[in-house]
Amino acid sequence: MRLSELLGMEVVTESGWSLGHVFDVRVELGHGSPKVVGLVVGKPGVRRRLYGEARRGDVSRLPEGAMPWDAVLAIEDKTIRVREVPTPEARPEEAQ
Amino acid sequence: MTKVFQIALGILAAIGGFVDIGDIVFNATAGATFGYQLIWAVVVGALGIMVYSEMCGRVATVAKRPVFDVVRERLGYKVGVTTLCASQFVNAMTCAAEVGGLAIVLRYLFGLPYRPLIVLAVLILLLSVWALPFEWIERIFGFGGLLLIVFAVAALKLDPNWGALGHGFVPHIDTPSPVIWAYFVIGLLGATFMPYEVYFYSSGGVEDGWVPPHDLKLNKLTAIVGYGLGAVLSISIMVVAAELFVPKGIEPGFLGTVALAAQTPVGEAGLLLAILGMFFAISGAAIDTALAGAYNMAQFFGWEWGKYRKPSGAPRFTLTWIGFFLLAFLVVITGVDPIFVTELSVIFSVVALPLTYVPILLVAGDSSYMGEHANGRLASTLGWFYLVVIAIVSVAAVPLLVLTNMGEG
Amino acid sequence: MSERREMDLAVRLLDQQIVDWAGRRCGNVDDIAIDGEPGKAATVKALLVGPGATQRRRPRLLGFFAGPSFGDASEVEVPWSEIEDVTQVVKLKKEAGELGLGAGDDAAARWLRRIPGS
Repeated sequence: MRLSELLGMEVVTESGWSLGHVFDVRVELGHGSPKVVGLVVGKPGVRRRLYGEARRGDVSRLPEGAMPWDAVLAIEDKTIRVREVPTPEARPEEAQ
Repeated sequence: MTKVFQIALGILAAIGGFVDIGDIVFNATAGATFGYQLIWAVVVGALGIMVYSEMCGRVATVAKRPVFDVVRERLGYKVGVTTLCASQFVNAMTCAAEVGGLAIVLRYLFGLPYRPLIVLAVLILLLSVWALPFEWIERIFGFGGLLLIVFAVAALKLDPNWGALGHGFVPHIDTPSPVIWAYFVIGLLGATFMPYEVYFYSSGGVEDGWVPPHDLKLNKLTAIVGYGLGAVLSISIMVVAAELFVPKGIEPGFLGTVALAAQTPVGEAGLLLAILGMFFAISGAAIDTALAGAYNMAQFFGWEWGKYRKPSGAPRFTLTWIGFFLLAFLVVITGVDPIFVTELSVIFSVVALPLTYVPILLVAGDSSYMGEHANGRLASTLGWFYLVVIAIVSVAAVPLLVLTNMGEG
Repeated sequence: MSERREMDLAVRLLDQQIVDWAGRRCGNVDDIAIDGEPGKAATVKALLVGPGATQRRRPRLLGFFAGPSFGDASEVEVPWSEIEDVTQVVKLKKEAGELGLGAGDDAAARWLRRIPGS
């Protein structure tokens, strides 16, 4: 799987609820290869790329949430199907 | 003295935006058509390019990132590659026009036929860039181009109407043909924002090994003095044209007409200095564009680059600038009018202009990159203001080009 | 590796300049290969470098015209284990040639060296 394949894919819950598009993949750095921890899903992708990290701030304060990787059920042609989880907007509290 | 040498980068970059082949004729035509009326447009443009060059020079100094590095990073591959294509077209067409212009200047000097002189022009350029270290390219062609200061002397000798000249610094319309007026305003602004100036300037900052904090001051000085001098030359040509051509109703369509304008008040020496100044300025602009083209390719694709290396130390970069000169040769050897080629490149700069300047503004303002050297309130305000100006220029350029039949009405 | 524990690949890594052990520029991060399956453990396997790696990211029109000249097949995988650090650039542990990078520059250099003064 390639990063470019994941970027831009629509993230849809089991019940068909669209959560937005993938605009980044978050990894955890440690020893060895970085581990994928989540998909950054939401609308402000372009703005975020343009402005870079300065406006990114702390992960927990992001307006968009990271959809945990373990919630991903299947990667289809143009969509990523995920388990029913709270919407990304609701996740920042959880992330803390 | 070292300071004087150090600002050569700014002068050489500025030459491309103020006194290259297209600009020399365009400035003279603007002066011959509107007198002093359009001086303010040169000033507005000069301030804008100072703001943006200072920004990208600062990014190059602090983050060691030249423009096309940040273009790809901020705009992504898809939009980035579109920007690359458009800007390379502008670079190539402008380079072709400069090569043609250089052949014309050589014809004034040696009186030989045009086509063999195109070969000579390309050889001069190829050998200069191949053999000279970057700093000597800056010095020879930057300071050589300053010989055009003869037009400032000519302007003073012509004893212009200072009241009217001063009024030229204030935007105003005093013409029955506002569309042509708008065409010239947009043309003058567009020329000063030609994107290859910032490609060349920012990469040149990396070539010159600028490091913070010391070289941040040098960057500011280089941008202000370099483009300031460019603007002075540009305005001088406009004033001389206004003084000499307006009363006689002459349309300066050729380089030679402009050069002759220096002869009237200054004499034979004036003519020679004007032609020599044009030789260095136009060669400098040709080198600006060819190197800018090579910088862009190398930075976008991640190749090794830099004139500070031997030619074989940055091989694809070297082949690219050689390729630009050869392509320029092929374009002008067909006999196409160099001035017409510069007009054509304007169409593509519509795409290249905003997509070049947006990433510079964003990266220069990004504190995660720039730390304490990120844009302050003044740079940020001016940056956004000029981005609006650039957007207006981009949108208006092509319709005005068509509406006015390239300024001919 | 930099101190931050988490990193966003597209913002931080994609399209960045790659520099080898000796400081030579030898490509950009054109894409990133991820190993793993949906929902199960997944890790970053390698950085992908070269025209082949940008195939999916090109504007369609450009792909149509420039496909052949980009040499679609060429793509180099740089295993994550070969990365020394990610700062403003991606720094490698080895020389470019050892990892299959910089081949285009090497070929051009061989050609250029025939010219005097190169």
